Amino acid sequence: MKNKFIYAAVFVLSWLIFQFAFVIGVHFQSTANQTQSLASVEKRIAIDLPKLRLANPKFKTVADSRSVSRYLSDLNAALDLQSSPLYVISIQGIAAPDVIPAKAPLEAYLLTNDQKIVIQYAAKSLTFLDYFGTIPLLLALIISLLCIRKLRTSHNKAATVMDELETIASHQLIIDLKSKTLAYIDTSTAIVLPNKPFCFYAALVDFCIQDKSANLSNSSDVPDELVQTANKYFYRLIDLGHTKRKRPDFAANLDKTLSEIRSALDDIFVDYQDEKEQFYPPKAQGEGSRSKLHNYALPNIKADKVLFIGK
Amino acid sequence: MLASWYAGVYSSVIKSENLSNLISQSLTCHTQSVKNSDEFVVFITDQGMASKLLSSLCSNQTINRQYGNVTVQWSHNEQEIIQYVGKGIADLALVKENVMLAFAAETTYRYQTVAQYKDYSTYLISLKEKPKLTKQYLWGKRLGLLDYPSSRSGHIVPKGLLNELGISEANMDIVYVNSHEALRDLLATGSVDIISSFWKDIDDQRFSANYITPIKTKVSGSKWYLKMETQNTDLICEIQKTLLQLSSKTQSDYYSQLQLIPNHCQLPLNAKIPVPDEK
Repeated sequence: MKNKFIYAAVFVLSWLIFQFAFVIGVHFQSTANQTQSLASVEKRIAIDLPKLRLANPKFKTVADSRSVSRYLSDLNAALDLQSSPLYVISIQGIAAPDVIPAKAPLEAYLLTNDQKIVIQYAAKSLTFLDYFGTIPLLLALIISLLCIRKLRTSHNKAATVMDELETIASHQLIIDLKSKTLAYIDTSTAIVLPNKPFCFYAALVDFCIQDKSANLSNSSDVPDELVQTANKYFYRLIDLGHTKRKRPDFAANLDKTLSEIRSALDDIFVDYQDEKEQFYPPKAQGEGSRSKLHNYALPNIKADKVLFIGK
Repeated sequence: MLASWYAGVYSSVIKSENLSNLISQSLTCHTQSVKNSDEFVVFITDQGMASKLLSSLCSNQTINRQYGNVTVQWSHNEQEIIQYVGKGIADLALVKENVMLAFAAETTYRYQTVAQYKDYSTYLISLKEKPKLTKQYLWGKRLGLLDYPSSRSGHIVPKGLLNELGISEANMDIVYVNSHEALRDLLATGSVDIISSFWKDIDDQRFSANYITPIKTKVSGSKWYLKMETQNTDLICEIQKTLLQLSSKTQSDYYSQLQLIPNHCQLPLNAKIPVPDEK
C-alpha cells in the first residue's frame, strides 16, 4: 500500500514537472504567434491603407464606415482561416461587425506622414485544453516507470542485504573469547565454559573449518595441530585475563572434555535442534566411544557460520 | 524537461502566412482570342454594374475578335480616376464631364463620348421648410456636403452658391459625408439643417418635394468615353449597343436613362438620342 502511494507520488510529481515545462512552451509559442500575426495584420493594413476610405481631417474627408467595416470583416475571416490568435476590433474607431468587444483591447499604430492610424485588436485566449498534451503524460509515465524500477531494485537489494545481515547475525555460533562464552542467535543465552572445553571446542571448530575431511577418533591421539590450536586459544585467554593457571593437557580426558562441550551446546541449541548438528561433535552411536569408527570432527561446519570474538 | 517544453511549443505552432489582398477593385474575363494579349480596360465609379458589364463585353463578338481579355476596374478614389483617365489607361470610362475636361483627355488620348446619362438639377433639401437662397437664411445653418471635390451636386455647386452669396465656410457649420445616401441620412436624423444633392423619385418617401430649392439645373450627368486611337468604328457601335442593353436591365433610375451620342451606327429603335440644349 505504502509502495503504491510512493509510485503514484513519483508519477504525479514527474507529470507536474513535465506539464509545467509544456505550459511554458505553449505560452512561449502563443506569444510568438501573436507577435507574428500582428506583424502580418499591420503589413496587410499598411498595404491597403491608400484604398481604405478612412477619415483624414487635413483633407476634410470622412470615413466610409460601411466599406471599412466590410474590410475588417474580410480581414477577420482571413485571420480565422489561418487560425490566427488575433482578431481586429477596429481601425480608427470603425468597428468590425460581429466582433465581441474585448475587455482590454490592445492597440497598434501605423504612422503615415500626416496621420496616426489606430488599430484595435484582441488576442484569442487559449482554452484550458490547449495547455494539456499527451507528451507530458507519456514522458511522466516513462520516467516514473524507470524511477519505480530503480526504486524497486535498490529496495530489493537493501532487503536482501538486510536479510543476509540478519541471517548472518542471527544464525551464527558466537565463540566469544572476551567473555569465554558460546552463544547462538543472540548473546542472551550465552553459556560460560571452563577453560579446557572452551579452548578445545574453539580449536576443534577452527581445525574442522580448515580440514573438512578430518577424522578425529577417540581411539587415536588428538592431532598435534588441534592441540596446538587449543594451546593458542588458551594463551589468548591468559592474555584476556581469564586465567593465570597452567596450560591444561588437551589430549587427556578427551571424553570428559567433549561431554562438557556437548552439554553446553545442548543448552545453547535447546530451541534450535535442527541447526545444532553442524556444531555438535557427534556422539558414538552403538559402536562405543572407543570404537575406531567414531569421529568427533565437525564435517559440516562452515566458516561463515561461526563468529569468533576477541580471537 | 526540454522535450516537454518543445512539445508545448510544437503543439501551439501556427503557420503564419501573408494575408492575401482583401480589397478587390476589378474583374477580368478572357475572350475567345486566347493568343491575343491585348486588354480592353473599362473604368467605372459604380461597382454595382461591374459584373454585368463584364459579361456583356466578354460575350461581344467585336471585343472577342480584337482583345484577349477584358478588365472592369471600379473606384471612387479620385486619384485612381485621374490615373486611369488622365493617363489614357482606360479604353472605356464612365466619368464626369468635369474630370474629363480637367485633363483634356478628349484631345490627349482621343476619348470620344459614346453615351451619357440624363442631366439633373442640384437642390438644397430641408426637412421642415423650403430653403431660401439668401445670405440671411443660410448664415449659420448646418449644411451637409460631400467630401469629394469632383461632385457637382454635393460639393461644387453648393460651394459656388456660398461664394456667390458671400458666405465663408467659417460662417457655416459644414458636415461632410462620402455619399448622397449618407447626406440623406444626416438630414433625416436632424444632424444637419440642409443638404445639397440631386432629387430622385423615391426621395419623397423621406422628404417633402415642397421643401427643396433648385440651385442649378442642367447639371450634366456622367458620360461614357471610349478611347478612339484608331478609327475603330465597329467597336464604338458595339459598345453603344452593349451600354444600351445594360441600361435596359438596370434597376437604377439614373442609369436606366442612358442617351447614346449619334454617329454612323445603326441604333435600335428604342435608343434615346440627347436633345441639344443651352448647356
